[in-house]
Amino acid sequence: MANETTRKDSARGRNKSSARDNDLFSRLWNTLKSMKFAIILLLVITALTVVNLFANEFIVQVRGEMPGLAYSTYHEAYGEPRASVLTMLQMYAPYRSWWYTILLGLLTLSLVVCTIDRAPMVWKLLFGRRFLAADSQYPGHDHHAEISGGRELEQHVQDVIKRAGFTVNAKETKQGTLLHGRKSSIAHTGAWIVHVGFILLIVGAALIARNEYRENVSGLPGEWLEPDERAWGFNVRVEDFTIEYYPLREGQYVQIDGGRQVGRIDNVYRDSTLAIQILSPRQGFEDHVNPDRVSNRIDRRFGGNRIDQSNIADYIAVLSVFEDGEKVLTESIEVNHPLRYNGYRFYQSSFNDQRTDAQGRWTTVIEVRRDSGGPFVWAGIALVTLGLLLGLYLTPRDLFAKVKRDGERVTVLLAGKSKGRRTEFEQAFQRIVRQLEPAKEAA
Amino acid sequence: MERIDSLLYSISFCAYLASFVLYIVHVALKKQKPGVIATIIAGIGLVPHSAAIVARGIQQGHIPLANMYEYMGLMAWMVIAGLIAFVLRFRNTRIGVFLAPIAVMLLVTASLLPSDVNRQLMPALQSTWLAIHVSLAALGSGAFLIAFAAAALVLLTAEGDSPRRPAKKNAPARKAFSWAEFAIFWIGAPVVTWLVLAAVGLLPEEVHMGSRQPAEAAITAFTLGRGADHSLLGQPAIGLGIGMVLAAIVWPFVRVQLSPSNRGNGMHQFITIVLALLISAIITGFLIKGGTIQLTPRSYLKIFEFFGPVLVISWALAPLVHILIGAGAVSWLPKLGVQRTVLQEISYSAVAIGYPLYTVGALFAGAIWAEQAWGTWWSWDPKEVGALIIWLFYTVFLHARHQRKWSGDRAALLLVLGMMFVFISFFGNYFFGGLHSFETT
Repeated sequence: MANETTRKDSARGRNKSSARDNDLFSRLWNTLKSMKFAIILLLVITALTVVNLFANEFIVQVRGEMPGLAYSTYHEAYGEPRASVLTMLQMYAPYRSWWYTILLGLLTLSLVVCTIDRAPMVWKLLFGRRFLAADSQYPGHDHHAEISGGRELEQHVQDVIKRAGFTVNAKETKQGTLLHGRKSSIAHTGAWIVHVGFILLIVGAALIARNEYRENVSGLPGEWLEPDERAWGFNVRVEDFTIEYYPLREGQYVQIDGGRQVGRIDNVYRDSTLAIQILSPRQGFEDHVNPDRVSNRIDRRFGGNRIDQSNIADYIAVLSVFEDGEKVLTESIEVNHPLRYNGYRFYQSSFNDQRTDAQGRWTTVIEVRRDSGGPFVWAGIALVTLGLLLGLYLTPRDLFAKVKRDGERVTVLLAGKSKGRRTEFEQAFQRIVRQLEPAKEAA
Repeated sequence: MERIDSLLYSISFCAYLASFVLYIVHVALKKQKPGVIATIIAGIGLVPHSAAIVARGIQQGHIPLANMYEYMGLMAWMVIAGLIAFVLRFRNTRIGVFLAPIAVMLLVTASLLPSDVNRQLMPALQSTWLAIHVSLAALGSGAFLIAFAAAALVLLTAEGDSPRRPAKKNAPARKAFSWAEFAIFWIGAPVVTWLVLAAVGLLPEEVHMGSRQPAEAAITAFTLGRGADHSLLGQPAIGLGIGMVLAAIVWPFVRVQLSPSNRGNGMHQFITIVLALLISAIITGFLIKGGTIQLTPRSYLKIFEFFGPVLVISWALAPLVHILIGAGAVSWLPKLGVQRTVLQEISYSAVAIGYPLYTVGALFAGAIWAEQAWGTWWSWDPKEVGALIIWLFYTVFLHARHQRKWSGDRAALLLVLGMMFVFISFFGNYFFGGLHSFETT
């Protein structure tokens, strides 16, 4: 979208810096800011990401990220020299490897340089006053027209351009009045805002990658959550842990009579009684079972060492936060709804059905995290979204006019410029021209 | 039991199919009326289509975007909405001739995916972000599909002999339809893909494609699923199916490298093959619905089990279609009536619409949702990486447009490659597993 301007700008930049072109810094700067560099870099990153995606499938998996372990695993599978190469390339964690990091670093550098370099240009496009002074500049535009008429045309021009939704700047010169109308010029900032947003996203990602704190803690209802790795500065107690189920349906494994039998639902009748194929302790079949006798839960004891999770609607843990022995907060957390307190986030992560309390409630497993990148990521997401909407859903349009007086006769030169959606703009431009014509006829 | 939403889907499918046929008549006979009627029919088809989506949403009690059937349906919706928008903007009804078949193909494919109404979402999927994530990603992919179609036509209609291969003087007039080209891309490429995939061992071991009725053995042998339930011959069908999709994507670009004498007329080649494939897809669809061919239940490779026979039947149909439309076609088919610049503007506009939707939907909403559900914004899950690759391709495209060297055929190639990764990522759950394979039970 910034087609012409970028090209022009880089040409201007080259002229300006030609005197110190030999300067290593400015040469580096010019390389980093160039579109060509960005395109090639993005293509290289794309290609290597594709390689990583497939490498993940075809190379032996290594648990953890220890180079020593990775080497021995690779050696066993592939022998030398491939094991050394794979370890050196850190293929056990390709997205965190040194070469991928270097590429992302270069991309970040290019982003920063572009953003700084383009800022003055964006400012100028947004606030700079631009006029077309010479008559010869007008016919060169894709959309242009010449209208002449009486004195009242002079005032009429500004009104018509304003009514078409343009913001108008005017400048008096000896040759006549110069006008510049612009519409949606905010769209010029779109690409720039997107780039700023991505810098923030990268900063946020880098902060998160430091992985400040992450730990799994577990507890039965009534127990305190005990962190091993660090003190949180407050205490958290599990108040309750429940699992919600969807209504009974076909194909689901269930307990009958509080666990005396286990079976699989064959059919749910209209009167909500069930046909159940009994699997344990003896094979059999029971028809029209009252749903009150059936419970959704199925333990490992019966279900062939598996827990049927397909029917689980939600895991809900109620946590209370205590500071200096006083309860400050009670919140129920579930999947998609963590507890956020003092920079710590508590996620309902898993459960342990082997350790139960007197009422048969299970142990909840809570994942606790803390990192400082969140606000940067949020800001980045907001800016990129805003920038994309501005830059791609709005089309900046400029209208230039020159009003010349020659006694009673007024001549108006019009020129229009649109970035994209040109057919549509041509129609709007012709509408403006037609609105100016009646004034001419009246004269 | 027939559900209201599948009835509505069928109505809109018929509307799109009718509109595609009318578009062909429109381009072929150079009459304006069929084109206008086709656009109106496509527009009317959107009404039951939208109603079907709403009906599914009401039936399920959540936004109807929890499986690939619903995702493809929404993509088709986007393609038709784009068709109407572009026809109106450029005041050129001929644009419909390459967009309508995409929607038809999407709906045929979607109808083979499991479409059970699913009232029960697993806990991780119960989030407003799911609705935003999937719907925007689907609309974005739909827009990319439009960009792909326009870019493919830019490459297909690149008949001008490149400077590297100037046309010889006294060269014979170009053939309307090149059997060499057909054999290379539509027979050779899929067969090679199948053999390579089989050699690498990427095809699934157990394929339940076939037929139980010995009487139907003739048909099923022809469609590569021999009369056995656990037929190993389903494997070639999957291989050929994958090969067909890859060939469709690579074809527009690679054909330019063929010598002109081996290259047919782009438009003629395109319409012949698309028509043959569509008729064959409808025949195969009936064979499957009627139970003559059975596909592996609950497998997402089903689509390729479907494409396999579609391709094989189309080999037989292509000559027929060629004879039917070919006789007087040479003079009219080259003239689609849509300028290359318009095609390029369509592909750019489609990306300009789809890119923000895809960025916000697939990447951002997904990341926000992941942070709420699992505590990590990004975990390099295969599907996430796939989405990132797609996003990188379109990012390069948006930058490349500003470079003169990159703005023409190379930009079109980027869109074609981008589509390939949309496709790989779409079926990536099956190949790669990972966090996004929610459907496995």
